[in-house]
Amino acid sequence: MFVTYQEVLDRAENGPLMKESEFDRLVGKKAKELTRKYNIKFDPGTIVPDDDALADRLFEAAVEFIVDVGVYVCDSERVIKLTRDEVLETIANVRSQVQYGRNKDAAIARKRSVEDTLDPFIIFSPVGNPVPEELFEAFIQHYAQERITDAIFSPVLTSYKGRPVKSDVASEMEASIWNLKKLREAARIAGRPDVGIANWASTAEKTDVIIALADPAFGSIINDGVLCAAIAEMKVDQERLKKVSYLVQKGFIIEGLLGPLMGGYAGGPAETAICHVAHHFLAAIVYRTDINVGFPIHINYCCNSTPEMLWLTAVINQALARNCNILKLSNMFNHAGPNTEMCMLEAACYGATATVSGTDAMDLGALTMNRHSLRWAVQEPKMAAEVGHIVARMGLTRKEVNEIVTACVNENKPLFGTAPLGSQWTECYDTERLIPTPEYVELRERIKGKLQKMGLNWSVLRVER
Amino acid sequence: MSESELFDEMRLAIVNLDQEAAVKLAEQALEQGIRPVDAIEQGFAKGMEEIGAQFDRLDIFLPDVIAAADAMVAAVDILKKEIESGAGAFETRGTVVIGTIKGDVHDIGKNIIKTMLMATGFKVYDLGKDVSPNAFVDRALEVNADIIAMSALCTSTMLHMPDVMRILNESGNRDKFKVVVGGAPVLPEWAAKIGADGYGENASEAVQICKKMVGA
Repeated sequence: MFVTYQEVLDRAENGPLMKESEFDRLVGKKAKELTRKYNIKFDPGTIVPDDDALADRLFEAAVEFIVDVGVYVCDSERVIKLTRDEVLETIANVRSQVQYGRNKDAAIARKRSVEDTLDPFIIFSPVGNPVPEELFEAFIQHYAQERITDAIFSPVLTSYKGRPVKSDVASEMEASIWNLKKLREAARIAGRPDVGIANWASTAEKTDVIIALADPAFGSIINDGVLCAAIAEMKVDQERLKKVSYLVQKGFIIEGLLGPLMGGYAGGPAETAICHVAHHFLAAIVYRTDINVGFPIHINYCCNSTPEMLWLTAVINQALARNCNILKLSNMFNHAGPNTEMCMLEAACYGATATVSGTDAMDLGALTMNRHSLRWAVQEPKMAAEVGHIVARMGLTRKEVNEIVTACVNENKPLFGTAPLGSQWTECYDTERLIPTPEYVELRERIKGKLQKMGLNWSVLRVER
Repeated sequence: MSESELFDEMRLAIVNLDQEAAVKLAEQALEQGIRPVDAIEQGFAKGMEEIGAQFDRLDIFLPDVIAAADAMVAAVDILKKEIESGAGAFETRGTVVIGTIKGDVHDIGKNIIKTMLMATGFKVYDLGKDVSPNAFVDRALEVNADIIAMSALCTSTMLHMPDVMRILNESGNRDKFKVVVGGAPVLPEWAAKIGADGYGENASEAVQICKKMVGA
């Protein structure tokens, strides 16, 4: 039986009572039980598995997980309970494609399969990276101008009129409006006037700011996206549901934002995989999403480029791609900073792993653990995008990608925990001409040469399929 | 069982996440006339130290840390009753007021630290999520805290942390508390810039810093 949105809201108010601490314990307990029941295990020897049975078992485990634990509503301390039939029927009703942007900038994210030869949809996204106001427009332009990106995210504006941009105060509203105006203007100057914007302002979490930014006078278009975050793990609240109530009637693309912590409430890699797939169900059913940004994060390294995190990315995408139409936007989180060999290799690994595993789109992506101001530049995301397109167009298999990814990850392994910060954007880019420095170009060409020797053929990028 | 053997069993009960065994061993300690404080510090707390080290290495994960902490708390509750009935003073290591800062609803990091602080003998007042700067200071004054600990996941929410420092300074209460900050966007340089006394890159580090701050 299909679950309506009104039914979701009713269950958020009337579902069974449970204390949050009890729910958190239940998540870990159930996830562990289900890894055993369904034999879900991380194999360090195979980063990109080509085990369809594993993918299918993971999907089934996730269905059982969300039926067992439900979705927690923090405000009411109640649980939205769902039956198996409700989960399966409701997720069968999702869209299998979504259009970002309009006119000549229109681009469609479509459902892909495992080992699909369709290009993954690309969104360049310094979404958590702090950028000061004086560089804001130029910074956006430098990545919006790259044709390989189908849509863009906003960076984090750190100051407006010299004042810090703080959440949930009046000045946040002003800053967010300025943020969106600048984003649209920068995209226009970059030759992408109608490109889809996948989030209007990284600082804007609250519903009132989102509703304000939806005014086209500030630069929004109906084919933009709005993020709606789940709270770790498997939780929602009324503030986010308010946003959904507005968005379902408005027509903007509703994007789930799902970032389960590997090592957190669910447990290790296998448990987190179950929890993450279940989060996609949460997003589709409770938030009525059109596409979901998934960014499982390593609890210590704050990235998803370690072997177990790439494995997570692989199995999650395979489980969903093989068993439902939920659109997946896989979010790269790199440990190292821009203009480093490690970051370039991380990007290549991510692009290859997510693409061959059936991701529909890639959010490229966080660098330097998403916490260091201006340590983001587009060449690494571009590497991930190009590798993704190459893997698709060459029709590489999971086995072939696993060999390439394993070789690259082995080079990076000694550096996890002490990753180089790399360069600030102002150090690796000419901020007026918006071109990379010769050193940055040389690094990119060197890594490209390494990957070409491993079998990736850049010439396939010349012709769109 | 000798005292040292009993302490080792206590350590193992925590490491093995065995709440039932931990409670039985706490009762046994009382029957044997062992000082409750010794049972905690030389037995159960050693187990929590090992758990902390295993979690740092990611040999285990948060559900295991929570289970170990539950076992620890259950054992300590048995021993505390004896202490409160007059068998010796039980001093907490220190008092911490903790919360996720205003505008932020992400609390997993904060909860990990809270769990480990409680399990290592701190009294913890958890203010929850989306906590206003004033609420941190008010509660810290009310409970005579030693430490105010704040967490944030977003760049825009961490910018409320300096407001806590301003309130402490302007109200003349700065010297009463140590302030520790942490969370994904928080960097040690920024923590120093806003005048915080400590920064925790992860839960273990945060707990170690809290211990140092109270002289433990």
